[in-house]
Amino acid sequence: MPEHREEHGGKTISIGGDDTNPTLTIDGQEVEVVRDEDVGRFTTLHLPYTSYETVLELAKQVIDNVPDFRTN
Amino acid sequence: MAVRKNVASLTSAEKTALVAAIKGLKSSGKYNEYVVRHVQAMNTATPSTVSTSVRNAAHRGPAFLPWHREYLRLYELDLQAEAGDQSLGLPYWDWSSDAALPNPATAPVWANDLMGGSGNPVSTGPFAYNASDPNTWVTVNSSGNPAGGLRRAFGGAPTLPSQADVNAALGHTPYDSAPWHRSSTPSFRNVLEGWINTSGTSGNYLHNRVHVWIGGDMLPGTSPNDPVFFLHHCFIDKLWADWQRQNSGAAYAPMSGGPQGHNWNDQMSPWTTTPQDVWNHIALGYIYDTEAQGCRNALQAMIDRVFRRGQAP
Repeated sequence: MPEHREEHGGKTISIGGDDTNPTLTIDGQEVEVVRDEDVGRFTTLHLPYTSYETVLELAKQVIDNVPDFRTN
Repeated sequence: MAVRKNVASLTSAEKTALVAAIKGLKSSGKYNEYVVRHVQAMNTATPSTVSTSVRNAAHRGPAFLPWHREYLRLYELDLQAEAGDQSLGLPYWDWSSDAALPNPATAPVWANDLMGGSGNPVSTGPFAYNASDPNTWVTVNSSGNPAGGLRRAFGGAPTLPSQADVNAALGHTPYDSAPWHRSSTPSFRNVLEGWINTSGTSGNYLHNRVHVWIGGDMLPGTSPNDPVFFLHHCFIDKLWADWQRQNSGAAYAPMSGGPQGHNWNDQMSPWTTTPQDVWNHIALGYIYDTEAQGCRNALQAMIDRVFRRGQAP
C-alpha cells in the first residue's frame, strides 16, 4: 500500500507495507503490527486484548490509550 | 483464610478499607510495581523464539490462569499488609450480572465509593484525577514513569459478556490444547481468556471483552493501572475455581512437552511458582463467598440430619 501519513493527538502516524506485512511508525517510533489471518484484522501487543479493522484505527487507539505513546 | 466477596455485597466499611489499602499501596510505590510486572510478562515471549503476540509469560497460553492467580494472591497479601487485616479478601466484579442491567455503567462497582465512573480522565470516585492534589491517582507507563490521570471509555465493546456466555464456558473442556496459544480449541483457558467462543469461533469474548468494554487504560499492557483490573481478574479466577469444581476430573494441560513457562511444573516468569503450586486456590489461603456458603449449607444439612436422628419418629 502507498505510505499513508496522518496527524492524530499531536503525533504523526506513518503506515506502509501491505495488508499482509504492514509497517507502522508513530512519531518515527516503530510499532509492531501483525495481521491476524483468522479474523482478517490487525493486532499489536501494545493493545493486547483485541484486534482492529485497519492499521490506522489501531494507530489512533495506541496514541489515545497507551501511556508510552499518548500525550498527557 | 480470606473470603473473596462479590463487590455488590461489600459493606460501606469494607469498601472504605479496600480503597484505603489500594491507595496506600500506590503511595508506597508497590502498586506501580504490579503495573510494570504485568507489562514485563506481556513482553516475555514463551518460548523466547516466538513473538510475544503468539504467546507470552502471562497471556495467550495455558499459564494465563495460574500466572494471574499468583499475581492476584501477591496483590491481596500486599493489600492485607497495608490494611493490617489478614482477613481482607480481594473482591470480585461479576460483570455477567451487570451485563443484564439496562445500563451497566450504573452498576455498584462504578459508584463513587468504589471504582468511580468513565472519563478522560476519570473525574468521579477515589481514583479521579485532580491536578491540584499531590496525592491524586496517576497512571504509569511501561517503565513506571508518570503518565497522567486514569482513563476509561465505557462501551468499547457493545456489551459485557452475559451469564449465558459464562455458563457455556464453565461446561467447556479440556483445560487447554495444542498449539497452546490463542487459536487453541477446544480449550477452556482460551474461551475464558476470550480469543474464541465455545464453538471455536475467533472474536472478542469474556476476559478480553471486558477489557475492551471498559476501554482507556484497560486496553494496553499497563491495564493494572486501573484498580478495576484486579476486580475483573478476581472474577476470572473465581470462574476458573468454579470450573475446577464443576469438572473435578479435568486436569491442567500441558503436563509436559508444551511451551516453556506453561507446563504443570514450569516456573512462571518472574517467579519460581509453577501452575501446580496454584492449582488448589484454597491451599493458597483464600476462598470465594459462594464456596463459603456451600460449606455452611453442607454443615447445616449435616446438623439437621443429626438433629432429626435424635428425635422420636
